[in-house]
Amino acid sequence: MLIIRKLLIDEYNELFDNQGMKYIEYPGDYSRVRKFAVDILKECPEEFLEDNLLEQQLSELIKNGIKHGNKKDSSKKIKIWYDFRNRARFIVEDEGEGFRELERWNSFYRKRQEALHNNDFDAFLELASYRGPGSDEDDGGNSLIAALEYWNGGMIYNKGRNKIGVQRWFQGGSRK
Amino acid sequence: MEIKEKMIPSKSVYLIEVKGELDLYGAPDFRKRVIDRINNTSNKVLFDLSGMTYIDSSGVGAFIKILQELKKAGGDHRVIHLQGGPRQVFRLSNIISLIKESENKSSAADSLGGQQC
Repeated sequence: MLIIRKLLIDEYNELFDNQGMKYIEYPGDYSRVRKFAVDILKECPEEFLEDNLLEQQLSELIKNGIKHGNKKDSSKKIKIWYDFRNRARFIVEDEGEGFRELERWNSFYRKRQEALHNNDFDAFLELASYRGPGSDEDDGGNSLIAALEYWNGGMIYNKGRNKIGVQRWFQGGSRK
Repeated sequence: MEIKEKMIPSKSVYLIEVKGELDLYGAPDFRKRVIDRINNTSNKVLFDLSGMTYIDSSGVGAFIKILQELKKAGGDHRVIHLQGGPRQVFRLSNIISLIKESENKSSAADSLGGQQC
């Protein structure tokens, strides 16, 4: 079955409702991306961590904000709202100009999924990583692909495309 | 992250053991090093990932680039012991279908060594 997901923009989506969420902000320090994620997850129920998957996915959001949003400008902040009641929820906002390549990315993702669906592995290998005007050779080019799979409770951009809201539900939830 | 590498001369296979965390900080060097070996040492590469505890999109991207270079070089690869969190990340990134897995080192080396690359 061919499944094609999309990055979506919805300024007023409930995923941007930060009432009751905790808040922290960090400088745009690329060398501390993973440390920031680990620090936030110190408050997270252990059953949400799943072999460090949550840390990895949160790190990707922070990395994208610091690298692609703030262009590694340490004077620009990354703002993070988080909530671990019953599920993991984050809102991550950077001070950049927003993800201008969103439509281009959606088009790339459609072609990638079609190649896989058609068992065209040569095309799929070529399309395995996204490459756009803002990419450099060190970009993995696949963080958003995994993110769309991982954030099973939604993943939404704001109108300015510099803020993302995500949510993941877990089997059994949590009472914390 | 630590990388151990050696040739399996009888098979002309280049063995790479990845240990620790292949993340945004270590992935660029990993990618460059392996591609250099593909172009200058052997285009038959065996990845032992039994010691890899963490991978992120940069690490997955490094593997994709390496597979693209291998294809250009007419080479091939095998992966052994892709497990735990790293396996989940490959699955989420939807590139498991590009990975040729073998059960163990000897069967992987045999399947690579029997090919004319």
